[in-house]
Amino acid sequence: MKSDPLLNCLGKGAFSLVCLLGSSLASWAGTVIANKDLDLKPGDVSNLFVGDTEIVNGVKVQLVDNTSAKDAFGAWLSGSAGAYAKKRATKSFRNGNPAVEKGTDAEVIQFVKTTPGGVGYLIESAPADVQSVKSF
Amino acid sequence: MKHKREKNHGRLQARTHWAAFWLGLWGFTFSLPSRADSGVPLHGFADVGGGWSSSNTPAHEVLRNFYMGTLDFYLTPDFGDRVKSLIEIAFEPDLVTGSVGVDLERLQAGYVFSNLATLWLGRFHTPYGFWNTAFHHGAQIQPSIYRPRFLDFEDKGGILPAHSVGFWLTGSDHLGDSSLKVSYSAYVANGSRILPDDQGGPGTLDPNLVRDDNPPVLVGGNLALHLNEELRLGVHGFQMRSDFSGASPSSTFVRMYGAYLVHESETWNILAELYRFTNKARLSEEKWKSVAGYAQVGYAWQDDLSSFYRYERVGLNQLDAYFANQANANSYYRHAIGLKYDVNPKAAVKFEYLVSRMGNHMQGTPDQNDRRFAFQYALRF
Repeated sequence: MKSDPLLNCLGKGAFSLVCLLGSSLASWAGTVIANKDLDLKPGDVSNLFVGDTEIVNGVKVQLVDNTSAKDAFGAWLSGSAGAYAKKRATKSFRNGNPAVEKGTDAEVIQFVKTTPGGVGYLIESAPADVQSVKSF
Repeated sequence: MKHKREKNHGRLQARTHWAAFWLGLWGFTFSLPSRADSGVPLHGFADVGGGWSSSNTPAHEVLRNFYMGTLDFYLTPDFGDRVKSLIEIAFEPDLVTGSVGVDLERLQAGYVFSNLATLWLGRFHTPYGFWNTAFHHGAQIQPSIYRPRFLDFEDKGGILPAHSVGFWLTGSDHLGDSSLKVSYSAYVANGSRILPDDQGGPGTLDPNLVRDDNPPVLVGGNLALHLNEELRLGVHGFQMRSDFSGASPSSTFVRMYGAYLVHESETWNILAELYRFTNKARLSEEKWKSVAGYAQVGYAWQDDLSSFYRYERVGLNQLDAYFANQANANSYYRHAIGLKYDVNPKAAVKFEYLVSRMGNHMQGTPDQNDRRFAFQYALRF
């Protein structure tokens, strides 16, 4: 029995669309979030996590690492998870900046939401009660 | 019998001190302000190793077979606002007797006024050059086993005050929207004194942890221009009065100034520091000049494997009482090559070969050569 050319075409198109969506989703790993009252620009993220910046627009920033997303975040920010971990440990050792850690997105959201100057990152997209700063 | 009684009493005293210390640390940790669900994380470094050196003197530099290195703990309590604190405690064996001592390496309390101004009070790593504040007791993050010899810690014969007790103001900020950044340190602290050995002869620097032994304070500064995230150029300097209370007392105004370059990228790691001294005897006003420096080039062959070569050159005027009264302050040059392999991001194995030619401390005595091979297993937690 001959197959319907229109159905074949639609099937191939649907398959291509699924592949395209899959590849774009694979490249997105998480979201950097901040307390809603913090005026944070995407360009500030690197200076905060691995640089010397501690104050943003007069507010002392409180950083939190998310152990469930740390490898992906570190690879995006510093080229590899190991390089990021080393930079964070070095920053803590040299400058006395504590590296607070939470284990899940829910814990990170709670920390950022209730901490003036809170900045962290999630595996998922940001909920409405925190500020979405940048995707990675 | 008396000797055995004294030995047992000494062991009991040591055990009591250790127990008291651990109980105190446990209580201190729980009493620190902390978020209800996070406590105060305890981090640190540890290293063990071994090797062999050709020379038999000085005693604290002899390397034979294996050694127990340093166990270093540091705490960075989170006060949730602009208040900061950094506490570092190191357990390390005396390199001559092997007895383990405890050193409160850093005890800093600070306040962040802005990115350009954090003010610390307490004991801190003296912020001259780059190496002293970058690596200090962090063996796992240090690219080599050995520090540049003249930058070693005071109790290991270093000729500079690696630790200071006083005020330290520091900060950094970008210049406008450019990638250029300026960082600085300005500090006022107790000047160091030189403690003589048991016979009143040349000894080692002491940072005067609980009081200054003479009125003038140590004043110093460090200014760096960061051309980008990888490259910085800096100038630094300090001045202090340093007295020696040994058999031939002396009092010297020490003035150090110099420059440094740091290039840190994923592939290349280049460090170079220069220290020039123009010291003056306080009473006779006689002046002397000396110089010390090193240059190190490191290359990362892959993410977990890197190597380095370092050259150190130190020329210290032995008529200068500040150097003549320090047992380790002799002129020398040294070549060092090494390999570092990261077993994982928190553990590194290092191998190092060093060749040194030491100018003997007393005028007219022959120079001394030293060749050494060392290996180290360094951890971070």
